[in-house]
Amino acid sequence: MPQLILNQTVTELPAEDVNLLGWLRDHGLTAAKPGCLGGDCGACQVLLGEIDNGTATPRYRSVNSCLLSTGLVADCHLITVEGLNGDRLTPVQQALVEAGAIQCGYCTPGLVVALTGALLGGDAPADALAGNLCRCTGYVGIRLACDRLASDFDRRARTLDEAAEQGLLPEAVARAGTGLRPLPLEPPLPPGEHGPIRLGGETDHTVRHPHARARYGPWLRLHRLPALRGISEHETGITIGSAVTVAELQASPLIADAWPDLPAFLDRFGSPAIRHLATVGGNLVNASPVADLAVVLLALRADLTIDGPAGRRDLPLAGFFHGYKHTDLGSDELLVSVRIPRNRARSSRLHAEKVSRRRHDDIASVCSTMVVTGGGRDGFGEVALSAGGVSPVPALLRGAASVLAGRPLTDAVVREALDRLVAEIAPIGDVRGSAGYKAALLRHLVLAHLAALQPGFDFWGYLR
Amino acid sequence: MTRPDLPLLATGRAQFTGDLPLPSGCLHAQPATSPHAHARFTRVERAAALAEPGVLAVLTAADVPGINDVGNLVHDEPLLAEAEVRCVGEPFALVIADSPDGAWRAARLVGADWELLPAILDAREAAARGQLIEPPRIIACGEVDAAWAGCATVVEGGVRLGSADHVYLETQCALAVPTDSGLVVHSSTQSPSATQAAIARVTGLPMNAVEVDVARLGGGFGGKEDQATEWAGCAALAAVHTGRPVRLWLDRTDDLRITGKRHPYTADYRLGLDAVGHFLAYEATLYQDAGCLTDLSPAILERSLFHATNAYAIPHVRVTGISCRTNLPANTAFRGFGAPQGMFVIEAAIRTAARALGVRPEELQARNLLTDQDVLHYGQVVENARATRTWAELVAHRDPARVRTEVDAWNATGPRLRRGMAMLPVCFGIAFTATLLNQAEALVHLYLDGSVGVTTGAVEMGQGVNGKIRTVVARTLGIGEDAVRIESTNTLRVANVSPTAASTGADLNGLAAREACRAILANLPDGEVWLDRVQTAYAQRRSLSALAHYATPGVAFDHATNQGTPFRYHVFGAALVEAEVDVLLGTGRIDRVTLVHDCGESLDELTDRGQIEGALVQGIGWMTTEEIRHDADGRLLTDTLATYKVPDLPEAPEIEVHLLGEPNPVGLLNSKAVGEPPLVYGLGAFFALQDAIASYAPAAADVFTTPLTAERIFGLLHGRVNDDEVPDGHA
Repeated sequence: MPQLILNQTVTELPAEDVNLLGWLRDHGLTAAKPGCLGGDCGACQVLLGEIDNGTATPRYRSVNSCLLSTGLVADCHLITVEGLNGDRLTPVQQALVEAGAIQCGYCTPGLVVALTGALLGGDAPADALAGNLCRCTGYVGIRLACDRLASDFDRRARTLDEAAEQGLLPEAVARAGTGLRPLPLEPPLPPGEHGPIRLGGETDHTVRHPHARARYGPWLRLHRLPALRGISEHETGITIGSAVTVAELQASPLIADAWPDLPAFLDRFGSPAIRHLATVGGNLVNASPVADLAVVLLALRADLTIDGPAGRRDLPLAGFFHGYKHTDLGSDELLVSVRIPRNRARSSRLHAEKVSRRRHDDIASVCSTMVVTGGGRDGFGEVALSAGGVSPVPALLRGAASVLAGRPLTDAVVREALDRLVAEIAPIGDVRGSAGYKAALLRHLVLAHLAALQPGFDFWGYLR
Repeated sequence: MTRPDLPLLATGRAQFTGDLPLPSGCLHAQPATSPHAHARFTRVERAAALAEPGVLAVLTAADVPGINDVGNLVHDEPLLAEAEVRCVGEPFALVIADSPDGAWRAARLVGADWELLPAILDAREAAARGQLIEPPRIIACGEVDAAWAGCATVVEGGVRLGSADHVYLETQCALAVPTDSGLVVHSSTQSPSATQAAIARVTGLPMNAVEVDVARLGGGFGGKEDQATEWAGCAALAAVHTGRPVRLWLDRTDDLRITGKRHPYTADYRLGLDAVGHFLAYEATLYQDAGCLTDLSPAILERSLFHATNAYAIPHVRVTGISCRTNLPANTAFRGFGAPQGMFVIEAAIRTAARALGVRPEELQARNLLTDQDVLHYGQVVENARATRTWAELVAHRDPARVRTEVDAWNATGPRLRRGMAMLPVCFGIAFTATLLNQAEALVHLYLDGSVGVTTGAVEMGQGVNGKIRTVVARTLGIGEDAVRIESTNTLRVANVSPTAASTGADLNGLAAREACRAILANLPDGEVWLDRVQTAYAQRRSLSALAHYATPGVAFDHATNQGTPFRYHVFGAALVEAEVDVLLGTGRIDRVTLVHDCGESLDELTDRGQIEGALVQGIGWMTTEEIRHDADGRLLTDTLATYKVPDLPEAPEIEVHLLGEPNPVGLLNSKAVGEPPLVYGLGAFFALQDAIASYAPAAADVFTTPLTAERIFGLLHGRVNDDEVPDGHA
């Protein structure tokens, strides 16, 4: 039987996977609440501890239990609010109580988990809460609690032992965490088309099947394959394992060094708890027309490495998306890694924009990235331009980019590029905006790119 | 700290309805709901659902042993639809299964022989076809028709206000447990007695055999005032049918699809001013989209009419309200109960007038604020007016004239980021406008160890009402708060309770509890030591328990003349909202809100501040990111929290709240009700964003359509307005 460490106790998991939130609640651990069953509210958050393959230190991250199944947390250490509770309130709980951060209290367990996770991971408390909805307080009290925790706890990662010393969790839970072992390796992908479902972070799988228990397993937990993990630098670029999470991408010094504007933009990708699980590869193979990361990687001219029975092959990301939710990946193949330029000479610059109804944890109406290389005061050398939300797949807009590349940014050139956009997109009207809005918005996003990447560029003349 | 439940909530030990341990043998129910906005049916097809493993029964209207109706104001709301469905999402069958997932899946397999009927999805179209919930209501004073001639300026315009979902984080939930002679129902409801009455009606049991118990709600905001009843009724029906406990818990998507929301309104207005900018005459017609059932719509419309002049004195007023029946789920109470909609209209009219006169809206607002002895159009004389007082204090904290100068100077340089500001005063009447609801009862037991147990009709849903009542009881008895425990709201202990709504929960129930405490005190001998007094009274065979009744004095309203004193008092306040718009991206954000709010002498400042801040942000969400959209067939498109976006922490502005601490002589221990009025400040988000947009696109000043989503802001800035475009549903 699969098992995990649940708070202080080694506990057996069901042989057949079930939804993690439902399983916790069926076991009487009702502090984690169902609020949306879609990873959008954070009321069900728990701390997931694991020791990654090839590392020795456990890490604890807040995750939405509604998006996970029991099989995916086997061999992990799961801490719920019940596990954090001791004889007295923890400093996190105390701060929430005293700052007026609690009204109805339904979201509070999720806040406790997210904030405890932030203190364990060395993240700024307020930054950890973008995925925790509170409908009562207006967030003023919650911000006050965050401020207090930020001043009471220096910003650094903590082990469970250190956290226990500081009263953040009971010693017994820290002790139980010492039982954590590196995650066992997954067996290699069996041959044939009807293998297990391949899952990265599972952030999208459950959302589409909220009540169908039959959806669970068997599956291949990709983040347990060391070959798919890690970010490394080499002569031709930076290689990102397909099971690298968005949070890891965001925290990578290699990425920050090569593309300094990228980590901050990734804040607009889901919420912290989503980024803790969502993987780079998952965002690509899912092939959503508004996949945030796919759009960025397209403009970065990313290349993919794909493995399968016929051997390894490389493919430009630009050739990966064939149609709505349809990619080049064979049903017996696996996306191994993504390679992006290392930009060592800093000759390339990236600018990304995303417009959504809400700034954080929302799906884009339209998102777009432009990467320019070389050039001088009056224009760019090379230009890559991509967009999401304007066609059935994340799109590389080659026509507009080619107009802008290697030419002075004159009025005629800009107008020609903007006109070229129209033929390259086919937006549809949906709940995230009408087709006309999306087309017009993309034009403005391109102007925003030019304004950001070309000092002195005057966009006013192009607003209709 | 006056709220004793905070540690319980912080540790996750507090039990919400869905956290209660399931009794042995507990079953699960889920509704099968209409896929059509309007259709007839003669036969429910249950076979496919019954064939699912674990499904015990599929119930229809024919299985209701009592009266198939859970309506409150009007009995037009079947528990399960009979022969006709009137909106997408109307329950027409109830699936009972041995697991929640099984019930959910099977509910999707229930069908019917639908015969489609024409559906009306637009309120004005409903009005044109005579589809009204009740005849139009008119509240008027002065001589409006004659007054226009005397006006130096008359402006006209129109308003389109969107809907909003409550998004209480705890979705609708009820657990019904049969006993040997009746039912115990745990329900997440703001109206325990209305829920009890509906269950009794549906099951055929007398009310005394139906016990409804409410420990706490994970948010209500009005969404569980009238619309928790359906789910408690369904769970009760299933429990009676099977003889086993049954829980019904809606998931978020079903809750969004099936339950009602804030009423969308459209309105036409006309405002007349004299030469120096005093309001002389105001006329408005409000079209309320009630959805397909009566629910609370007439009462909500009435409050829209009461508050149609917000905090302003206007001698000649005529406001007309038309409640329109459409084929959408019945809209319902939502914090503010129609008042914010009515107030939005006059605030729009003021902007139109200011533009016509070439003055700033805040100048007109300041010139027309209510003062003592002004008579409102519904006949109530304003007493203890604090409109000018809160406005002046706000000016002292953040001077609108200075902000205006800064905003204008900033915008004059033609920047990409435009700034805007708006002032928003509020005058909000406190009492149920249905006068009979202004009563409450409280039961207080004093135990021989000196501890005290209190039950009232108030439902705790995060507003801190139990903490306030505990304070009242402790102060009245002269004991420490630790000795007082507030019990769950329970219809066996306190009967016939009014809903916890209309911001009246603390006032009504706190004053009833005070009466009960006084009755007990009268039985205690004098003395220094509490325990001695208690035990002596017991030894003297005197009662240590009391049930007391409180009825709000001085409230009365004549529905024949539409004149009277519907409110016990008014709450006042004023806010300054500052916004910024990115002209290039077409996005907006609310940066800062400064406000002065009149809470009387607050019983719990931390809680009251939280109520103000939370109401404000809820109002901002309604005005900005929260958009309810249906397709052309009346199906909800924004049916998840991925597509329906409520404010999150990064979205919330910097908020500075100042409390006007003046005592309220007619309130609970000099306090004032706080729940609803501050939502009105959120309207300022619209007007501040509009102000910023209009600095680039002046025509935007004439468009009063909410919410100001990124798409609308873009449209106003750049001439692409897609209000009427119905998306094709491909999300």
